[in-house]
Amino acid sequence: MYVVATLMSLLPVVLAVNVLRISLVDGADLRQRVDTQSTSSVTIAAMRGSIHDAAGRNLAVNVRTWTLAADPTVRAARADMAAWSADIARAARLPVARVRQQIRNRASSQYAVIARDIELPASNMEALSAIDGVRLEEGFDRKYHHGTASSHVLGHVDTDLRGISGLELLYDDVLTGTPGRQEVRRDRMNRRSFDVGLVRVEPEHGESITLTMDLVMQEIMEQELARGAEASGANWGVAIAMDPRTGAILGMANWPTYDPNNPGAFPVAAQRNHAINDLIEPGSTFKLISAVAAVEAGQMSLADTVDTGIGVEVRSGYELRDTHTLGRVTFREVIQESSNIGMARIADQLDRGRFYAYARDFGFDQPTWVDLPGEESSRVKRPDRWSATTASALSRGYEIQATPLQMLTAYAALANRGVLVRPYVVAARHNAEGRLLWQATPEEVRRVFSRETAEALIPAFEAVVDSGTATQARLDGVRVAGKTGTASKYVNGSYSQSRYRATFAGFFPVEDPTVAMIVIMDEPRSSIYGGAVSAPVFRNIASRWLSAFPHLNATPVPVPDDAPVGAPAARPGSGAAPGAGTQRGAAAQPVLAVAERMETAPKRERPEALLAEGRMPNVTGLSAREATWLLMSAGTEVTLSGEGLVREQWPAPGAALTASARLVLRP
Amino acid sequence: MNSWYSKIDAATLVLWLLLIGAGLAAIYSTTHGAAAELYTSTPRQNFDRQVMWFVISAVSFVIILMLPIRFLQLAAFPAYALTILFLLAALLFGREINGAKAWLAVGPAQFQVSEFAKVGTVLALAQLVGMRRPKTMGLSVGLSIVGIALLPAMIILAQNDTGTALVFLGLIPIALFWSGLEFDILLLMLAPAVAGYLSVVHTPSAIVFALVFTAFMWWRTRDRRVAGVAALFAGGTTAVASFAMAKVLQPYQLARVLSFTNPGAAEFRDNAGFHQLQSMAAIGSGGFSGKGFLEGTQTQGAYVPEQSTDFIFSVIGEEFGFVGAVLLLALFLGLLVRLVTLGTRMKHPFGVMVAAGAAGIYLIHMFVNIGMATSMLPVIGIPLPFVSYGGSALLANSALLAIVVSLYMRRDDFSIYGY
Repeated sequence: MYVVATLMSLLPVVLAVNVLRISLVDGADLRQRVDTQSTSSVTIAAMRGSIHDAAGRNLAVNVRTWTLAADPTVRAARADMAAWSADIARAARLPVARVRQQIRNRASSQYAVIARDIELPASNMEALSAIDGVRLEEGFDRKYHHGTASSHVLGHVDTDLRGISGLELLYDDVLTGTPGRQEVRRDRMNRRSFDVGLVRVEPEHGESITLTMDLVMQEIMEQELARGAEASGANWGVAIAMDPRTGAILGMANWPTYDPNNPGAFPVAAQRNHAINDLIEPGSTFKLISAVAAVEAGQMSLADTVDTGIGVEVRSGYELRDTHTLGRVTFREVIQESSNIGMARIADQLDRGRFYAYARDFGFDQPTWVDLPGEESSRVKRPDRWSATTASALSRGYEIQATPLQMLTAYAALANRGVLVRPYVVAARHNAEGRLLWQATPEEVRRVFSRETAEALIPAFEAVVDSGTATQARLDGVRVAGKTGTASKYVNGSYSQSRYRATFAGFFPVEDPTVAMIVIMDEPRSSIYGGAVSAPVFRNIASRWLSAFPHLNATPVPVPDDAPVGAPAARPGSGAAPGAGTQRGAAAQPVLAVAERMETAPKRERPEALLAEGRMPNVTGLSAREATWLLMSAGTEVTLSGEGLVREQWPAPGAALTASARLVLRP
Repeated sequence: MNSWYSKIDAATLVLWLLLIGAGLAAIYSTTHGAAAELYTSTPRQNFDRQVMWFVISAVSFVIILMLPIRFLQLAAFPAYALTILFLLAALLFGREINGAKAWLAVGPAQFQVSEFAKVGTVLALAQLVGMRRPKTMGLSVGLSIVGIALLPAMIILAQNDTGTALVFLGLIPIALFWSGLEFDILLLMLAPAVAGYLSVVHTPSAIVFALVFTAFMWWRTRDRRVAGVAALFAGGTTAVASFAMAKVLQPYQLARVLSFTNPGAAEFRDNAGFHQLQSMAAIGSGGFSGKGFLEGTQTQGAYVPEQSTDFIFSVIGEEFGFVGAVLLLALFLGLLVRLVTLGTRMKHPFGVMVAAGAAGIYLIHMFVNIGMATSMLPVIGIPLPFVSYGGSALLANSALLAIVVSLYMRRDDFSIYGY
């Protein structure tokens, strides 16, 4: 009896011991198993930071979108699929047929995506979420409200909202933020059950970025660049402007451009930021560096003269040409008229190492370190590798490669009286709550040359605009200094005689420059010359900027030549990045007025003027009808060959008008 | 004189109510916790249905308490015959649920006939034993006992409900013991079960057991025949079980048998061992005091299959922890000890046998069920008495308990001529 009772009571004890064993021995493992199989976390998306212009306008923002999905296995759906899908269609404002098709074609049995990126009024959203089995999944989409404006600076994102170019790429980490998570419990069928009391980590939204650029200034720059590039028939064009005192980029425009909202619709070439991605031989604009080196070496003053001979010189088997014969001219005129021979003769006397050192000091042979991705580093040959032609080639901007931005920083250094600054496009970063996290500080790279040298050289560069190769860059009432460049492109192993890059780099107002700007056109067809193609674009941008943003001009009244340079009157906004919030309201009206005036202004006034002088105008880029009408009106017979627009012409532009002319047309 | 219920055994009633209460709490957790919204309405009504069955069981309990002993004794064989008929009817015309054709539909209700067959079989065994005088146990009575238990077991086996059939086989040694069989013979009959279990779990242990058991029986009886039978039973079972596992069983059958020894092993955890692994995870993660009522993640996530029926122990283990599990086991232990005590006090073979049979049935159910939930035993689908969801089982188990309480209450009415 007692044996049986003992045995009987032993079994529950055995069971209890076993339960205890499970708890103690395997408890930790089992608890972990329970956690891993029943708990998972759902990511809470962090919002990508926005990008603003200097005045706080939204350039790139996230918009909230919803993905509408439905589970067609819920009871309501199984009971009456027709009514259920009709409810969804009504609430989502979609055609019923489409909703049903999406449900039929769903990839998994319990999950049918009905529409992506929908935006609906709140009442519809509520109606949707009230339907059994409907899921609204929050997401974000990137919107660039101003389309093509500053697209090359902003860059764009891929479908997962990861930056793949421009600032979106460079600042991807700070823009992205840190996603949060919500732990959820799931049952055996992996259905989410309950969240209450589980860990929730709030997402850290991405930081927002404020640019140094102003949207209105940028739009003006892009319009004028496009206008100039289209008129000249260039392959591409680029314009960049910066504040020479701080390095803050004021505008960066490329033509052709693209819309970052839909980058796939544009060719890859249009997405290229030529300002930093292209290495080009700068041509005559590089004469600035030669001139600085010569003056600093003490071998030249602006009044010293150089014999440029007849304008043609053969050096080491290469022919060096000036556009026209100058004879013995001052150094000032060498710059003013961009004499290749004159510059080469000056460079002949320069110490190679010294010349190279100045190029290095100007920042050549390295990147500018602008805060944009993919910047090319410019390249200069070291003196020990120079050939017999290198010194003279370098003196006029060949055998060196630099980005357009690199050239601009060199001219900004001249404007800044010898101090090179690092260019930058991001002025500040704020967190999602609007607290300032980081602010750019202007960086002086180094003093490249003395203030005296700068003051000595600037008049020569001002003369380029006043009476030299770049008279088309002249502005009313504002002193402009600059330099043209017409660089022959190196194509298939030799310098092309027909393909050029036309450049104008300059700054204004000369007394205390607020803007340094470069405009480059690749293979312009209307003219090859920087002074004819790029300088007008410079002028148009500058004049519109000055009317919209008067603070850019410190001295609306021309200062007499003998006034002390470099000691301008104090002016409002000095030192602050232009286009700050205060100018915002004032900007819109004048810009429109200027734009209107530009529209009505005749594009080609030169041909008629030349014809009146009895000289051959440049008719390339015109249609056959236009060119024929123009020349016939001057009594010249025209012979046409080919189709399309005028590409080549005899006689050459500027030559004396003859009784008959031949034009070659190509599409 | 006191009213008819004055001699009722309150302790048994309290234990009975507590066990049902624990079961209702666990069932409530599976049907009204966070897991509930995952179910269609049918399982969600399980709790309500179980409450209804409890009411029916309580009414039956009271009715049985009013039945005289004589009636129960006379009704024993007819009840047994009736349950056998029902078993056959279920086998032929019954409804198949969870693979077992063990259900008869009566109107809206469905009855698992095999549950009631236990009551009939216990009564029949008790009546058989009760009609004999002590020390007159012959071979024929022993065979009758075996036959009475074996007949329903066979039919239930044919219904494809192995677990319930095993319970009937488990009644045999209990009945034989209470019918006055010698203790040595009882030991001999238990030996194959132990040897079979050990050979599945750990074959060397089974061989050692066979040797030790043989030596022990030799030491006890000094009888070569007894030792020989002991060696034959223990060693033979070990040999047959080992041979069966190696040669006869199909791989999937072997997997099912072996999976309980290591349910987490890679080859078992997604199929045969899944139930036990999830059950162990539930019990093990409950820790000492449990995760709290309606807070068990395994239970609320419905990770343990059959958690309201065969694996209800996992719900208690997870939500009430080790404390809850031990309390439940203590309730069972209390009930079993109380039943044996009642049986002993009745001093009449019929009463003793009914009490012992009831205790035996509850014990087997409890041990196999909890052993299965804690991976000590293979998955054998039998419910935990009074706790698991299931109306037939609750009604049948309550009726059996009511009979014991009723007999004890009227123990003075036993005929001394019963012998």
